[in-house]
Amino acid sequence: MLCNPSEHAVSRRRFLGTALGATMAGGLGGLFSARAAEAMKASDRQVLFVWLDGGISQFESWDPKPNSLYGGPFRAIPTSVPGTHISELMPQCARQMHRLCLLRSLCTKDQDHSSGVARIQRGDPKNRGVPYPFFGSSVANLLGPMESRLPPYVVIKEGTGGFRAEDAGFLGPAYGSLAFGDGKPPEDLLRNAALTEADDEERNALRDLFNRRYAAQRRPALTQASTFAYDTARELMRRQDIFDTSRLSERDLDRYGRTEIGTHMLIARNMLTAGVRFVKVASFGWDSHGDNFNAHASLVPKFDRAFASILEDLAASGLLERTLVIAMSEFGRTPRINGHAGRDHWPDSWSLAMAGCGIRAGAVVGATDANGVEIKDAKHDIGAVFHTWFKALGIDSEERQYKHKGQPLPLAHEDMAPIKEALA
Amino acid sequence: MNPQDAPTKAALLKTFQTASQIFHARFTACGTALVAACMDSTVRRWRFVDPPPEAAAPSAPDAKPQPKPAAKGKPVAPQDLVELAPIQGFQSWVQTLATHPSASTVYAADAWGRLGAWDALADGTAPLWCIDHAHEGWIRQLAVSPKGDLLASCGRDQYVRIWDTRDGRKIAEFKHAQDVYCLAFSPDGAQLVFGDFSCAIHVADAGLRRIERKLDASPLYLLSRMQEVTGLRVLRFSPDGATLIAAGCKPASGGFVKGTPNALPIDYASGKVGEVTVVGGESEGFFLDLGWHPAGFLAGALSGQPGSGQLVFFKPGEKGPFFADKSVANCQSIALHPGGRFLAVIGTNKGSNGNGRPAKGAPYLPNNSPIHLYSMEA
Amino acid sequence: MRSIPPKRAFRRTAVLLAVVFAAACPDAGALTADAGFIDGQVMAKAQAAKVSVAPRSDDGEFQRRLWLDLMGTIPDANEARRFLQDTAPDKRRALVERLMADPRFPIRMAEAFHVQLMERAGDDEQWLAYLTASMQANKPWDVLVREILSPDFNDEQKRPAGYFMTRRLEKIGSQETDYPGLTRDVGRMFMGLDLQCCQCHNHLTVKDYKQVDFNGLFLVFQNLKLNEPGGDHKTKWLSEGMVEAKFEFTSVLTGAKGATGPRVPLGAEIEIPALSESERWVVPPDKKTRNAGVPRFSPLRTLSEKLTSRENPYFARNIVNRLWWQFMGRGLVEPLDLNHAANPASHPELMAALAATMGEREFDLRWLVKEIVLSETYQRSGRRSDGDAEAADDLYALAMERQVSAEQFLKAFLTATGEYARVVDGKGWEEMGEPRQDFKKVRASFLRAFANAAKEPELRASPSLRGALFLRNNTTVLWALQPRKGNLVERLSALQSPDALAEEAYLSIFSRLPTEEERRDVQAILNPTADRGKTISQLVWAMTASMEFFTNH
Repeated sequence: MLCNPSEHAVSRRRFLGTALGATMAGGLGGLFSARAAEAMKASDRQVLFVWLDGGISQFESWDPKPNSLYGGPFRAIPTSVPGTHISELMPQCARQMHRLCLLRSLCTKDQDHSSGVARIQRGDPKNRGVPYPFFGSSVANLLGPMESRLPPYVVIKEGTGGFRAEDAGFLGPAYGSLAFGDGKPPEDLLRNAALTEADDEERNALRDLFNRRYAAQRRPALTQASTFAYDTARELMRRQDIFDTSRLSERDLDRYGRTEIGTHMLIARNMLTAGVRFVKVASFGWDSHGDNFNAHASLVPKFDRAFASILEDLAASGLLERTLVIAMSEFGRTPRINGHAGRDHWPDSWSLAMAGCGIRAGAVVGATDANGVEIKDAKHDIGAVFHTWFKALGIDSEERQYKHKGQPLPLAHEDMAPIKEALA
Repeated sequence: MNPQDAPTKAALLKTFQTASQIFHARFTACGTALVAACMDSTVRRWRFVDPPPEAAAPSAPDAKPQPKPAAKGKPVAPQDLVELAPIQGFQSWVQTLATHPSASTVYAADAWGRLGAWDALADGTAPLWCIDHAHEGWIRQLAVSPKGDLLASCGRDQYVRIWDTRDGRKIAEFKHAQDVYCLAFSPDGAQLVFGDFSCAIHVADAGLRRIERKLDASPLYLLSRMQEVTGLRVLRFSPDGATLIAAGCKPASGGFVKGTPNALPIDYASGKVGEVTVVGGESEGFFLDLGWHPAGFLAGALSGQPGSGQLVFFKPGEKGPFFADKSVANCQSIALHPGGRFLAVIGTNKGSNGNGRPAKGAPYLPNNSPIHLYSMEA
Repeated sequence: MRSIPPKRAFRRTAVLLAVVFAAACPDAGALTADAGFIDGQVMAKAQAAKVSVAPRSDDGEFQRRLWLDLMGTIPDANEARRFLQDTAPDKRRALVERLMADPRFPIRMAEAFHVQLMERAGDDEQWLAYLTASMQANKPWDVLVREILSPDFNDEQKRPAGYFMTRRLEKIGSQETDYPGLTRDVGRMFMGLDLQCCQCHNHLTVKDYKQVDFNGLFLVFQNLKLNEPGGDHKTKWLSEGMVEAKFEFTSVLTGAKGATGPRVPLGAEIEIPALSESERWVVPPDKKTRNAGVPRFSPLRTLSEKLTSRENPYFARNIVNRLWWQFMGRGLVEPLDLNHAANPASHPELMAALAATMGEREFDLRWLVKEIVLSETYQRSGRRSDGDAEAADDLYALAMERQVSAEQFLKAFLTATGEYARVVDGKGWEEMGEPRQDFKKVRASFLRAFANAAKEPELRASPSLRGALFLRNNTTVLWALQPRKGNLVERLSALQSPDALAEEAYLSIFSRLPTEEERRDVQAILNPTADRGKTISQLVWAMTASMEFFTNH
């Protein structure tokens, strides 16, 4: 028998307590599956994935070739790791180098944006006739949401936001991403101005009552899934602090930079702290076919500041110990410089940076030759990099498999293996 | 020059291949040599094989070899260029150089702060003077005062500096709040103007004691996503000093940097911008260089998008060019031969875009900049 | 009309091979729901599994289900009340007949086929109008599919059928034109075969699916060219090239080479005729007029005839399976697009009989719809009692919870809240002192919230964060819950008795009367409230956001 909203709330909690004990966690766009629940307790690992769309130049960032044929105008500077140098455009990351692991031996296959962006983020496995999930969707599927019950895979990007099912590939829309366009929440995420929080709670308690009556005569799965979706909605609505840019501190903004990537990285820090499993920060406009050097002089320092600051903060809060941090693009840029001072697409020898859990801090893996054209020793394709990331997250990608329509599918390219030198 | 003889177009005479990409090139005052600031950390030099083309009237007494005056009326077709030993010792690419108005001295600077002076015609390559740390990092542009006594430099370190051309002694400096991209002395030598990152133009006295006023070329600036695009690349005064041309690109996007070449004629007295000369659409790139032709128009080099590029002639204040030649890909620089009968356009080899992957076994090669020699025609 | 007694039919099918059944049984065309053939088959399997089936749905449950399925919305409170009060013994059949005669029925059918066939990959008014007109005319399924697969772009009426293919062949970014995707979808949608894996090799787990099957179909579709509107064509259109040689392929797994002409998958190859140079074209291509020409041998036309013929058993089985899924929530064959010998129907005889009869009845979609909705299997309750054991879905012991599509949800929501006429028909705004709700925008926002992403088949109900946030915060949703002339919240506010209010609310939203317990709930909810209007609005929100409203059960 019901009397007032506070009692609704009590019975609601009781109901949820039992319902969620046996549930079920999952994604966003679709049905929530039960599998992820165990994983949710098993792992506290998180991921920060910084995507520099269009292709940051390895020469003007992680693998400078000062005073060489294709080296460009910039100098290399020493870092906190003796013997390791990076571009002068990254003075702050230079001070964080002891936390970073550079991979300078990336050799991938795709030199087109339209296919490369997806191909790299899906780990470029062998063709199985099914679209593979983006790394974020993989992690959302394999590790599920955190105990916070915030959505497991969030993207902070410029432009439009929303629910992006296509990231999930064959895993299905439940593992798609929730994108905050321009750092802002998607449509309808903020509590409608016409509602108070108390009203919203009251009517939701009523909704739970109707659901209980309904579920009593049905199989529980669907109603539980709905409850989870509404709870996730509620958590997100309650945690507006984590993406409300007006609440970011002046001091933090000064440190991260009052730029798009600075603000987005700060929101990412808040989301990781609040318990989002996988946060992707996507920065666009790195495709410097023309005027590459002025473009990088403008862009790289903004990335440098934001990225170094979040590394510093994650390290200070202890989160870095269980957070895998990655910064990369879909490919690097050509050694040779074209007729409008630009660099074009180059998948043959490029770099990425990693840090955090499972990663060997301060390491530099692989090297390119004096002009930055060829990789000296072992080349690493993105499949090997995926294995490395899975390993760092405690997922045995050489053993574990996805199951899709009864068919086992490897997590990453089965002919490749983790890069041991990059692992702690 | 009679109006009916005034050149209105240019015809390609000959193309010379080079081994490096070139940012900037100038003829020496005597017209016998071409010097080029190169991406491969050199300054390259070429001399005309006799007979040299028609050159300027005899100039200052310290100018070295005097060119033979050529027959009037008909330009003499230049023969081959012979390359002299390149000037080396730079640590990074050399983006800028300037020649002395009467002597054969060339001043050049690299992207790591080295600035020096050389005799462009000498067989040896020892500098007349050289400063290793004239700036911190990338020196973007140099300019020599009309009398030839002062050399101005600017760079990413936000400094503008004035040097004594004779010995490299620093005479003055000014710390700006932004990266400084380009500069020019006024024809009377009294003032120095420089253009910055946000496309503002600052007018200073030649001693850099104070900024007298500010001119606006901000239509050439764009914040695209988080990339700041500085479209202002060239400042040129009209010979009478009445007009300052601020040129470059009106950017439409970052990344690829799409944009339309724009040349803003600024009335130097009032600061008012007249009719802007606009060339083509968003794939024509930047005005990277401008030269005043004695016949009273400007010759411009347009960078273009892949494979394109233009040489254009226009009069400041007119909507578009009256002459355009699209045969040179990705123009970098334009050097007017003294006397105005010839000009050299620095382009880029065809196919400079793309990954440049050679067929299996072949070496991976850099791009290069052919020199296109044009004669002016009526 | 003679009918088969169910027992006899069952005995016969027990001894006859499924496929032989239709041919051997002259009475198959006379199958009717009255004869209980569907129910006989389903009951037999349930009994064999020793599973007891749920009782018949009550009238409220039934009418909601039927309205959503046939009208694409729920009945309003008056309709719902009238049906519940109707004491005629054959009132369900009468309702089925009334609704199937209603103009909203073909619209709903068109919507359902649109969602199935396009899988949210595109929306086009002319395509939807074409489907609606086809459903109004009860166009036979084979005719409809021929019009889709071999579109006549010169025929004003049939031209929009080409959207199925033209949309799929549009280039997206710099990706290759998706000929393999179109090939795959033709197999899936019209034969229930997902041959995707067979582009590169024989299927690894499905023995029946060979590389030759995909490529025989692929050859036909990769030969098409998408042309922009222009000249006589007001829309994008397709032209067909010349096919003179077999298509050659190599297995990426074994390296084995093969070649095929056009082919109906799992069927015979179509011979490529040897034509002399002068015979090849009915209308030769003309570069000047940019006319693509008309080849004498059209693989597309030939294929569309053979694929849709009664000789192709997969064609009839597929439409039976898809319609069955549409009304039952589960296909007789699951997954819908994995028909093959090693994956038989849950009820093989039923599938065989329905497919055979469908062919004999010239692919009459209305006939099959009526057969299904009049069956007891369809009318089963979805309510479990406490002691019920978990029964497998394919026993149909319990009605399934099915997805309410975004379109259904939108109409049901507007019907329930009493805003349908204002928002959909644009009526009654003049007297309101507020801006109109633009139906197109409202529809688009509901689709964004509840429709799947493009190319994600909408197969089952899936509560989502996106939908939850939408119902919690969307302005139009909250707008509909404000009291307004004639709408539900206003009507409820005028009712002083909690009991009357409960009845009106339950009838309007759930299409049923409240139970005693639920009447007490409503009384309790309204009892201590300081702001009755707000509480009523919250009550309506909670009901429309609940699972009972979210699913078709």
